[in-house]
Amino acid sequence: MGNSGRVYQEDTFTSRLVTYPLLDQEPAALRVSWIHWDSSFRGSRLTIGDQIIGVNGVPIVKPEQVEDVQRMLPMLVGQYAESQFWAQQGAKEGEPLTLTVRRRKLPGQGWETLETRGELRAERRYLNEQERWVLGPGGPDNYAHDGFPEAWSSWYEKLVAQLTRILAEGWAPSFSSRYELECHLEYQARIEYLAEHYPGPLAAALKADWEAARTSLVGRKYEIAPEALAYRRAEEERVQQVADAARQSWAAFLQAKAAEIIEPFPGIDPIHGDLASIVGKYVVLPPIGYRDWVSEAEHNWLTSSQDRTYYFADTETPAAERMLLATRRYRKLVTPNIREDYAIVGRVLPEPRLLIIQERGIFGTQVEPVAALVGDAMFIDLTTEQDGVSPFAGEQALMKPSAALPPDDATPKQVMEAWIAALKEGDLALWKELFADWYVDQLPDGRPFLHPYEIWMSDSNWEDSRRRVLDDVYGIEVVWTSDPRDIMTGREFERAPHIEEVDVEIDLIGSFDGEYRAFSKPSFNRFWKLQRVDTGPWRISSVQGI
Amino acid sequence: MATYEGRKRELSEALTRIQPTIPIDEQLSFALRLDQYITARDEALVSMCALIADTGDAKRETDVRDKLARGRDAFKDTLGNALSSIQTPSLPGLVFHNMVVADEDRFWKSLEKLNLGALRDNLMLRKEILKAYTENLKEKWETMTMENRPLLEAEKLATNQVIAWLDKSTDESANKMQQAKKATVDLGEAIRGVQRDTTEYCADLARKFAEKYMADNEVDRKIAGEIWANLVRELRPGDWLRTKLSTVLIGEFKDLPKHVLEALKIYAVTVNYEYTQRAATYRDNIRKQTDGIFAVFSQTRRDTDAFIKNNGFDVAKKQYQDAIDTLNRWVTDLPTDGLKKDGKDFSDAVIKGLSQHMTAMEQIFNNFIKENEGRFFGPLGPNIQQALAGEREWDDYLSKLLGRGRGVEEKLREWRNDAHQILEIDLENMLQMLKPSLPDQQEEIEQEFQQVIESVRDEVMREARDRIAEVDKIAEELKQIISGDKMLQDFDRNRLLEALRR
Repeated sequence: MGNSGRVYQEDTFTSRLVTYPLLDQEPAALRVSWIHWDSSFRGSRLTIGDQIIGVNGVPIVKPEQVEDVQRMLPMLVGQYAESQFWAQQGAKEGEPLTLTVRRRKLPGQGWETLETRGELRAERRYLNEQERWVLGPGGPDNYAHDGFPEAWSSWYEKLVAQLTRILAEGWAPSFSSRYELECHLEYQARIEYLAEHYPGPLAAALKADWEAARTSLVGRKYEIAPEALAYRRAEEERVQQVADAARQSWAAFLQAKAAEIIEPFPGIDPIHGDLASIVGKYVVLPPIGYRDWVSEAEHNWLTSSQDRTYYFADTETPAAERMLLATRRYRKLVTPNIREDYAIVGRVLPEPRLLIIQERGIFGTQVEPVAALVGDAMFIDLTTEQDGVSPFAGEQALMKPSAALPPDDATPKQVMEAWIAALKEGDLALWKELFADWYVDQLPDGRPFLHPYEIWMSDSNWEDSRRRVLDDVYGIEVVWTSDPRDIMTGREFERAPHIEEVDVEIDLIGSFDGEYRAFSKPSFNRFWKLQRVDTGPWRISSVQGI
Repeated sequence: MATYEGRKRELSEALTRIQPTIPIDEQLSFALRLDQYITARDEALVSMCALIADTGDAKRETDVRDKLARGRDAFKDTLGNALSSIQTPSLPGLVFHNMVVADEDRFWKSLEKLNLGALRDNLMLRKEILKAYTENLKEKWETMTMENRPLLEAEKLATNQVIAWLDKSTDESANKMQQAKKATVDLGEAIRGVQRDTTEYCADLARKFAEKYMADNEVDRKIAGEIWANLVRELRPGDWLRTKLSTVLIGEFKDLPKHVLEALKIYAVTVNYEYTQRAATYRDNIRKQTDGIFAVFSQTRRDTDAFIKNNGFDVAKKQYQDAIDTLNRWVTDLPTDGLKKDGKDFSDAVIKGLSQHMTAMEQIFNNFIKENEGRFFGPLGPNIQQALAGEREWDDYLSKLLGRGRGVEEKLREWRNDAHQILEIDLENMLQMLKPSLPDQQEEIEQEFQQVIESVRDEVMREARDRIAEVDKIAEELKQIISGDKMLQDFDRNRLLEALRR
């Protein structure tokens, strides 16, 4: 104890660990959520996040009967009734405790198993000279503030909860590492104060834990060579190529139609003017953005106006639908970043149209789109169509042969790496092929059920992923792959397939203060599953983007 | 606050049954947490129902999900943790606990899958879409009628102006024709005067000759005849007559055909300009209506048909019925009688809440029907035809127009006949009247006079024939341009009505 005071000791003994049960996994385990500062396992090989799979050589096993589980669970190491178990064993303080622990080999594959030794300890509480409870020996008064907003005890409780979450659960889904880092750094001042004014084992343990959490939140450091970022430039080149083709084709189209093009503004009044005199002619309308879309009962119109002249284009005509589909293909094949404003060439139609715009009825001239320049980056001639598709200028050149699939015996890590490469190169065809075209469901009795030839991939997964690798994600690395496990053994019924599954964790790498580091955002998907059927090639079964 | 008694009773009874077999601390823990759970659960369920019944236009899916999550979490925090403070739970206690956990878990998970908040939001959105579309149509109708009204007024104005111009021109032309007829009478008088003067002149001449040359019986009659002939040749009575005629009558002879022609030219001017212009204006306005307003009107009717098919009350009714069926199936699948009872009560409350949306939607839909049936869907109502084509008053206009047209036809025939009468018959007769009554020995004078009369007659009748030809031409042209049938055609409104009913 640092300064004089009293110690209050419980008469029960525990490992001074906090654990979270993972009894349904194989092997059953207890995840270490927290190691109290005064635990004998402080300074041992045990770390927060490790999974305890055996105690004193006895494996953790989940009983068959639920009532047995209910009875056993609270008394396991790190659970709320652990002391009861040791009391029943007649154990005393200092009794040795050996934990068999497994942890992931990070980075790498699978798990490593090790043993770590400690001993049982009683919980102790400390009083200072003023007979006030303090946080550990030589520690601050539980209820004092020392100029900080909260009392020490509630601050400590919050900090432990925070550290538990970060160190034990890791970068779980919906985790924002940089945000958490910001919040985490707010604790620094008080931790240093504690270490300076109340030095002792508590302060030392807390500081070490805080630093471990900080290291975790800052993210693994990576070196990324400039050539690894060449794909970003490739995207820029593709954009440029298509934009050049767009401008040339746009000019050529206007030239070809020059004799039939009329000035759109000022236009002819569609009711009082001689609309028939311009039917069949073409107008070139200035770019139409989303603000110029008008919706009536979920039916959308593009509108263009100047002074009192209005033009309307129905977005549900075949030509307009081909235009919108072409824009989606552009986002998939070139870049997801395109300014969606449509400069359209429209053919004047014979009937006027009445729309309500900002609560006023407006008569306008209807046009049918025959060509569009989108975001000054993409041109579509809607007069050419094949099988319901109007290609955009330069689209054909993008249809380069896809890179080859990885070999059938590629490891899950290699398959993921091929998938990452396809994403960076914009190779949509290969990217799609690396997803499993089956999925495994679970019947009500828990048996797995295979659905072959099922693949449903949303365009938004590709587009969002492409947007990310061109934006704040500079690299993606596979950091961990589990050992394969069977989800169908092949013995469940005659001709049942043998399906294996692995878990994969990836790091998404961003750029922070001149360094490349792993980071996470709530929308990121860092955890993936791959499967293979009957020792066939591994394929990604998580239907998601990065 | 409504309470759901079924499960509470069921669990209380189950607890009572196992009470003798479980320790007192477990009894107390279960009893306390059961109370806490039921209170929280009821609160969650009631809140969910209140949100579902909310007929406002805010989305409630997230709120309903939150309330459900609270109910579910309340279970975890209460009954779910009932044994957490018990160091060594008893076997019956554990069994009871597991059973409750399994059943309540199923209850909350299956309730979550129903996604009642989304169901409610869908109905609400349908309602809002319908409301918005009703307003939309109202605005469109106002815009169309506002744009259409001046066109109808312009058509009426054009028609009225045609009638007014025709009336005015008919009066003017009639006046002119009267003047022509009066001129004919005056001319006849003047000619009779000339004839009298001519007869007197010849008689005077004969008398003077007779006095001079025939008083002495000694003058040879043959020589007297030669002297008379020389005298006639010297005096040139034909010149006298020509002078008389040119001084007095030639102008009037030539002016007469001009009067007649003018009567028809007034009409020709009116028709060629005023009628043609106004008929063109009228047709242009009809075109603006048929190709503009009515085209848009028909479009809106087609759009409304499609809207009703995709968003009408029947669609909402189906969604509502599907929701009822889903809730009924959910209740049936609940694992215990107590949960089924509470599920049924909850389901009834939810259906009641959803039905409020249906009631509101029905009102809005009925309002929509009331405002738009006969207008934007269903058979076209007569008031709509009246509002857009102004049918009723047009009968009156068109019958006036037809009357004028028939009148014009009649007048043209009359004037044409008058023109022929005046310029052919009357004029000819008047020219015949020029011939004087002369005794036989004035054959030489008669010959000269005849020559002059023939010459004047040729000239006048030539002029008259030209004028007659012009009159006939104008009359023919006018007949093509303006007649009762032609006016009906030019001012026809059937095209308008056909376009409206397209």
